[in-house]
Amino acid sequence: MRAEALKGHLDGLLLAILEAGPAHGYAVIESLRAASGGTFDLPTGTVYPALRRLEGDGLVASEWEEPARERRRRVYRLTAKGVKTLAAQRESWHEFAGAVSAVMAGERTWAPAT
Amino acid sequence: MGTRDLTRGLPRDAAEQVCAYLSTLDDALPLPRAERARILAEAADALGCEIEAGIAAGKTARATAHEAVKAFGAPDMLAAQFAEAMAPGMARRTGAALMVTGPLVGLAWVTAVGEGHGWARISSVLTMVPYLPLVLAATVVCAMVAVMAGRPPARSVWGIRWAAGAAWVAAIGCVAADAILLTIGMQQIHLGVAGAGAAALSLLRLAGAATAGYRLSRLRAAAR
Repeated sequence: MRAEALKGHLDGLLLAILEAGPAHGYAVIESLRAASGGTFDLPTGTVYPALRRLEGDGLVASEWEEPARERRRRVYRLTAKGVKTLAAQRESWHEFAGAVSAVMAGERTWAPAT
Repeated sequence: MGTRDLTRGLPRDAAEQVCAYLSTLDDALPLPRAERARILAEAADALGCEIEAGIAAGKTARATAHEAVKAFGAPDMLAAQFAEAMAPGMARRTGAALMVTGPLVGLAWVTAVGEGHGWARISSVLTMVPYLPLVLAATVVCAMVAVMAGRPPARSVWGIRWAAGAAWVAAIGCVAADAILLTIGMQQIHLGVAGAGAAALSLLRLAGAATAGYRLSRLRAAAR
């Protein structure tokens, strides 16, 4: 799946990854790759601007990892606002995905107005 | 911290490629130095981890570095994404700062150069230059739009460029208003302590607004 198809969903995916616990950027990239079975073919660096956007919106918080390693790394974690937003996005996604699946599979339960 | 320090511990073949990539990314990022340093440190860590994993899997340092850099994304594209990610927050902060400092600076000038009492004193400052009220009104409206449009729910409707654009216009309006007020102040050499205070406040705000305007214009240019 290309990056364009992921547009609008990346923020929710990152929140879902961080739900498991705090993680640094590369671990988030690896988790996204592993959880999607390699389906999401987006440039790995794309994750960082998305994390900054989530941080700017108060959904994620971050701090430099201690003790300092040879290379510095920042650890991200969900905030309480992030947890709430993830729950809302998850509900919205389930509703949307269920409806699309039903239509795609020809299981429409509603009848069009005549 | 230079890009060479960020690649410490990597094999030379890999470090050279990562250094070159980080330098290009650094040049492309339209952000203040501290923000760029943070982004480069995180990019260096991700690339380092990817390269170490590649080497552990039996690839050469040169080949795995080439793959890691390519997979990380084109610097211009990442710079645009960072600009889009950070522009709404900067717009919000700029708008809020101008709205907070506006009454303070205004009160200082009314105290220093105003004549009469109450509204008449405020009005006497506003009418010193014909177009000053217009500049101030446009600045306040744009600052309010920047604060509102920079918030997540409004952002999806208004778009990032609206928030950044409104904040940029507000910053420029503020620079113009402060320049006008300082010109008025300079024409009245008997201002005393109140005038010096008002001029100092205006100068500080003018510098802040000009810096914010410059940064916002770079973010707007980089965001696609």
